[in-house]
Amino acid sequence: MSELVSCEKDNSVFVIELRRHELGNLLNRQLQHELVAAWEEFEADDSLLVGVIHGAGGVFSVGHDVAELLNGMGDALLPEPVAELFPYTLSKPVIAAVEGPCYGLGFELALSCDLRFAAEDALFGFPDTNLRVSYRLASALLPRLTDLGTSLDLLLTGEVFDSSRMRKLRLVNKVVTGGTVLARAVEYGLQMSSRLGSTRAFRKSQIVQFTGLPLSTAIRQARSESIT
Amino acid sequence: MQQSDDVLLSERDGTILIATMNRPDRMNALGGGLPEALNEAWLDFRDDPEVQVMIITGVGDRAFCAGMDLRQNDERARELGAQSAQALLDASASRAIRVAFNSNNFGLWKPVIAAINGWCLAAGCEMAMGCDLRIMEDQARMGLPEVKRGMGAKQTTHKLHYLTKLSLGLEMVWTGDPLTAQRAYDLGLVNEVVPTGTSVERAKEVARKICDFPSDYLTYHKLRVFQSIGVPMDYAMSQQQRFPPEENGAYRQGLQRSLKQGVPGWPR
Repeated sequence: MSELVSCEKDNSVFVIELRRHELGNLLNRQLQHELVAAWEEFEADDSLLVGVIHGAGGVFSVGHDVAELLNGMGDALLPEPVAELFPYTLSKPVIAAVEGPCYGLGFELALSCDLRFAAEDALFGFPDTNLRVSYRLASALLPRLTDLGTSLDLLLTGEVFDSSRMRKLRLVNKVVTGGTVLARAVEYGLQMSSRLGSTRAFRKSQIVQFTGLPLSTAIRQARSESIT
Repeated sequence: MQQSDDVLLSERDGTILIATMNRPDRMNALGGGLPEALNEAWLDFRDDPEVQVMIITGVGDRAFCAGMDLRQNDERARELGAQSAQALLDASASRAIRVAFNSNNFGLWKPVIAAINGWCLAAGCEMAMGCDLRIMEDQARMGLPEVKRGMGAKQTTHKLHYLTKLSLGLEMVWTGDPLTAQRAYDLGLVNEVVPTGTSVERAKEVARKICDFPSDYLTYHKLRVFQSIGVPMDYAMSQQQRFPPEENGAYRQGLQRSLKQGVPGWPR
């Protein structure tokens, strides 16, 4: 049934592939809905602990499907992406394995993953100066992931950063050579699963939420949680 | 007509405003009318729809800004009979509400770039930290030496851990030692390091890239970033402002241009 997104299980790791690479993995509505369905399947399956998302054809995603926005969306609808598109709300960790361009909405998707592994040729940014869309999630995630100056640099100048710069700015966790980024992400996912054993152990929602709480509140809340 | 002996020189380059602090004999310290001139410039910039980006810098390659003019502060302290730096600050605080550029308390959501052309200390450093982007020349030094004078960097301490890591921010505030440009870059405090004498030129290049974006896109995203820090993630995302604000004509034209021009490097 699914056409633009394919899913595969490798033991406890769920591998999601964006398959619209002849069009730069542009995130049209159909792809967004298929991706949401994939996240739902991942979240519901207790045997799956870590997700990995990557783009087929050496491109992660170059962002919004502008032609679709122009032709199909109608004047009343602004291009808000499907709400459940972004995996930061899932209870399980997700790794983005990025090769090639990762722009705009595609970059926002990668930022909303928990870890980012990047090939040396990967490029990140919001370079489209014509697109009048909001990167609401990226605006909230960037200052949590890196420093304020870098967050504003990416959002306001449209500059494209390469992998090594992203690594230095703590926006990418690992830079991987050649075409091995997917394999490395899956391998890492398997290691994470064997170390932590259950989704509860990742405590992901807590960590994300803690980023904006007064420290004393966060400590109190963490103490009140039972560890299972 | 602008005089070369004005404490703040301003120059327009298209939609870019370049404000140059001009008190070279006092290392562009904030006194002698400069703070008032800066306040006015910030307000003018905020309210002028023709100007999209502001660059702030100092004359020459010696100083960006060395901080409050302590000589002037000293005179004022004598006048007031203030016995300590804190007493002076307390006395000054009772004056009219100050435009605190560093905390965005007057709603300046347009991008500002600091071109750090030399010493950038104390209140000067805080001013640079209050900018959105910082481009620093390699001979320049940056620091918060207030601790050495029994004062605090009050306009910046609340924000230091967003600008760099908490422990490094504390190191900066507690030692008061200046950082080299390279170290500031490594800590994420500045966006770029450039050769001596080139920070303004580079800032103009960056400003021109910024100007390629629609101005409401810029103010929207700057505001979003500031509203999203220091609050829980759920709360940040529950704030439902949308963009663009009702401007379908401009939105569709943007889409058409986007479709025509594509994004850099794609298709390849």
